[in-house]
Amino acid sequence: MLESILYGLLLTLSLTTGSLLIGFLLAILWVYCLGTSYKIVTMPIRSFIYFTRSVPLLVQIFMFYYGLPQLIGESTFLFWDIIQHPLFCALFILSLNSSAYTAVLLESNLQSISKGEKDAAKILHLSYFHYMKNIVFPRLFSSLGPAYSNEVLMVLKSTSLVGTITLIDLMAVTKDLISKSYLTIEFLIMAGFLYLLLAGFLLTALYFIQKYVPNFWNAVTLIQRQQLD
Amino acid sequence: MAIYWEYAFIFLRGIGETLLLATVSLFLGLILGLILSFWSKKIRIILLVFQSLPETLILFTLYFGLEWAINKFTGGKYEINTFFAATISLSLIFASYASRIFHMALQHISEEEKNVARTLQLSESNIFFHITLPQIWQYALPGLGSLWLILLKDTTLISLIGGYDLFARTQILVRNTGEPFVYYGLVAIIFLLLSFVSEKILFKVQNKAKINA
Repeated sequence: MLESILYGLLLTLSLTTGSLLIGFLLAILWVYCLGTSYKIVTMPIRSFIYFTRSVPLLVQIFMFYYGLPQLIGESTFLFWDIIQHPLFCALFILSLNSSAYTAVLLESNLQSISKGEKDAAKILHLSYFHYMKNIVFPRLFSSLGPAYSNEVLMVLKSTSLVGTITLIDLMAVTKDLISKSYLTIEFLIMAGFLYLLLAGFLLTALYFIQKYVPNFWNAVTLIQRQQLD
Repeated sequence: MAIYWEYAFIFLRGIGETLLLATVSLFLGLILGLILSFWSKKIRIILLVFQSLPETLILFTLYFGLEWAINKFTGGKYEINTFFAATISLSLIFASYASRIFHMALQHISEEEKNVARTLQLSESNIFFHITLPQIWQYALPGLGSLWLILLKDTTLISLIGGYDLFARTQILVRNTGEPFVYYGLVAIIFLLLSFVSEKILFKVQNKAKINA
């Protein structure tokens, strides 16, 4: 019993952290692409973000896991086994969702960049990459704190749905134990405490990352500048 | 051809059930959130628990917990309606977020305005319903709108406890036809339309709330 609970806890934790990491990297990519004025680049990303934000996660998971075989047909593709693996499906959908929400968060941080600044960068003939790297990105993560902790909680909560595609996460383990022992309320309360524990752990980790990573980053850039001088 | 009409009818029925569940939870959640907002500082821990537990877990706990509690105290063997359990849990989750938004909105109402009303011999309930309440909407509506979109998406969870909504009906259709992508895609399009329409309505309501100020 303890083993299965630990397994479920580990799966939930790894799914959450994995999809948060991939989602964060993807969100930076989306924001980088959304900064351009080419409609052909921004339109697909905007519609992707709108789609993921307004369609329920359960529908997305079912569409990808059960619906894709109908669309493509059986095993004609090289990576078919990987794509049809429930773990890949869950990670794929969760990280795409997280990336959409994080991209919106990051974009709202960019409101502080004035149009004058953009014009100044244009006059200085900064390339788009340098403009994004030196002017936009330092602002992106400035006031991310409370909003991003909300996002972390949201991903943690949405991992409880992966039990529907045969993954055995904490919620599925709880259901399994209930069906074996009929101790419904006891196990549900236990799962609640474990989820709270996970949430506390993730938020503490996020706090320490936000406290120490910027310092580390500043130190790195300082050393780089000294080397340049 | 006739079978497609039947499918369309099932879809319509599902949309109706989803909208009914969402609107009932919205109204209950709004009322509960407004009540909770007065002491949202004191019960912050409980609200935080409701916000950080998965919706599925809350739904299961309420569904089985209420059944267990009722059967224990009455000694009978009742079964709880899935719609009832889903409404209660969705509105509780909605209220836990909404109370925070209402609390923020209530900070915008100045104390002097209330004092003026008190000198005019208005009763406290009159002050609340005719002075405070009409004014807080303009501050609360943007946050409540995004909560409504989340609530609309969370209604699909009722299928996990065996209730019926658009998604649960679609699962039956998929089992009958064996065409998952088409039907889940249709559900996705319906949800896109629903959120698009509710965004438009929200925009209009927001504009209307601003005139009151």
